[in-house]
Amino acid sequence: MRILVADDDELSAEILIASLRAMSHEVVFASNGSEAWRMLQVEPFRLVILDWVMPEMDGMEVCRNIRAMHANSYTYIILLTGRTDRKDRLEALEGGADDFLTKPLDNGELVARLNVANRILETEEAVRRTNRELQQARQKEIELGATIQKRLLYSPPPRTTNAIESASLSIPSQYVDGDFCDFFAHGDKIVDVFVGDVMGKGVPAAMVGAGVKTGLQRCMISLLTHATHPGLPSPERLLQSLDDLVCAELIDLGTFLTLCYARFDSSDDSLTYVNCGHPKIVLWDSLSGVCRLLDTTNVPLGFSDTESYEQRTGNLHAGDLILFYSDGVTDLKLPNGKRLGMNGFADWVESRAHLPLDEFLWEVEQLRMGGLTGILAGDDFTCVAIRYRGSEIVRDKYLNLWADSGSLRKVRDFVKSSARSSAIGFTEPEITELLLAVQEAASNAVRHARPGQKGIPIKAMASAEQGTFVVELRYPGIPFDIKEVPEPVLDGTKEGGFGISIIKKCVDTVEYSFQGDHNLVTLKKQPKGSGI
Amino acid sequence: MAISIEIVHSGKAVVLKVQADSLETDNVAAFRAAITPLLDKSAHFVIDLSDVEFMDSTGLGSMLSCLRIVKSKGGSLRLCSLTAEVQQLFEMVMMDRVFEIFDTPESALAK
Repeated sequence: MRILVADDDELSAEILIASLRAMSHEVVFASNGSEAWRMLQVEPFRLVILDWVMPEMDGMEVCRNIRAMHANSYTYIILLTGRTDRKDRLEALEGGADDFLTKPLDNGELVARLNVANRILETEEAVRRTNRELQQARQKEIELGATIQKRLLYSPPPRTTNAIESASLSIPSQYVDGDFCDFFAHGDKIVDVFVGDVMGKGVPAAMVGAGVKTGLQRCMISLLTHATHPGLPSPERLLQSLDDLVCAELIDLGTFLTLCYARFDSSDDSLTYVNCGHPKIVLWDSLSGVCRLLDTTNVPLGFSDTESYEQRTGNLHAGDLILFYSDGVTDLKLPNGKRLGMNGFADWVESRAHLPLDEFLWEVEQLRMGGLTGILAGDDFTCVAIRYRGSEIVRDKYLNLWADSGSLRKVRDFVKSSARSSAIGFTEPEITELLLAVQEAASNAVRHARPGQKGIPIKAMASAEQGTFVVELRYPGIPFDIKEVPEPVLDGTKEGGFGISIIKKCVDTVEYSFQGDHNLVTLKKQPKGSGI
Repeated sequence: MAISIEIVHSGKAVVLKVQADSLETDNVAAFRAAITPLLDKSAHFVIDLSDVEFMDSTGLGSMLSCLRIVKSKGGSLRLCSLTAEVQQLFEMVMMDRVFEIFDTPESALAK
């Protein structure tokens, strides 16, 4: 063993060192306490033999310094002393000494004391090794839990379905927890999205989350194939069935979870949801541009085994933004020290809801970075954003859509197919004119009706009435006065200003009006040579 | 909407082919970003619009912007292979008088 010996008495030190070396120990010598302390700060020694009485820094002080050091391994300290009275020895033990050697040195005693030291250090090393292994095993378990969570618990809805477009952000806490998210797609018109959060953290919470998620899938299958009431179960019926399955067990386990289950149905533009104690859904209405919070309907699962589940239903418009999020979002602290809260989050969302989903979630991430303090670093942070697009599916004679610059092609395609399938015999150049007019009117709406915003809900209607083809575009936002538009410059010196002029040249009449809460653009065109 | 511009001929004049089926509000920013650095490569250009089936006023604006950049350097810009739909737009706002328009890249280069 490598041993540090500190003694200012050279003769006594020489005897001790010779004895230790004779027992095959490696010895490093310090001629006083300060020197020994300097050496100990550079490299740790498992065993230190200190003379009690030394100039500058005595053995007791070195001893106390070692104990205050918080080293990685234990240092066994033997004090060399001529003192034998009880009080002194008690003081030394309290100061951190492990044992004593009495001067003058007895070789037999030295061997015995070193054997004790060796036994204790070996035991200490074994305990340390076991602890390290336990810690590694625990770390592995945490990593496994994180994988469970990622793979089994977090399955956000697909990026696009016919009914919705979605994107999600999940920044896991440094602990494993029971946050989960999943979806059911029923055909191409209905999508169910649900998010949940199990009380507590760690692998147990993750496993409860996985269990409940599986339970919900089981309930769905069982209700879908129910002998007397087959067909798609309502969210409240599904939750009731889940409650029957898991509530008693949750109560037994002494845990509970919040769960929000929402159904997007594009066949009737509805949102039906049950919210059991989860943060309130934020719904941004694309027509009014206003956010509201949808009330919770029930207590968390596992609170009561007599709960009766109640669903709420509301209307959706193309472009509505629906947000599910964890309390990590609402717990964010603002620069002024206040908690963001659900209302604060809804206010924050209102001015950003028009953004494409990826850009929106990037902003949410920046919000987190900006609001992050040491206290919050451990909070899980998830946000699932849904853009409702359901009614883009053309029905009858209209198309409802969330129009950003990328979706104007859909308006053109709708008008093109309506014009071609109508009884009006337009020539191809006439159809080109119609599409140009529609494009300019719709692009004008996207760019100017809500300044600075990247999208707007548009309802497009197309119909043929007595030989005239009529296209109507309805959208919210600032009214537009066509009379204020100057004539375009046609000599090539101006790059813009052609839009309205193109519309006027392409259709027979164009009218802009404001209908109380929305703009209406009416374009009318007849085929040439129709004589009407 | 993705857009790319292919340099199909590089001689005295550079022929740039717009590879997109439309040039409109949706992709006009991407078009400007893609074409601007190419306009430093020469003084004389032909833009081949044979793939572009639809162009709106913002697309037209970006064409005028290219024309202005090239002319400010004393160069020239010609357009070729316009689809019927795009030709119709140019005639409607009389841009067929502002741009030199040719049927094929070869005829644009020949003159």
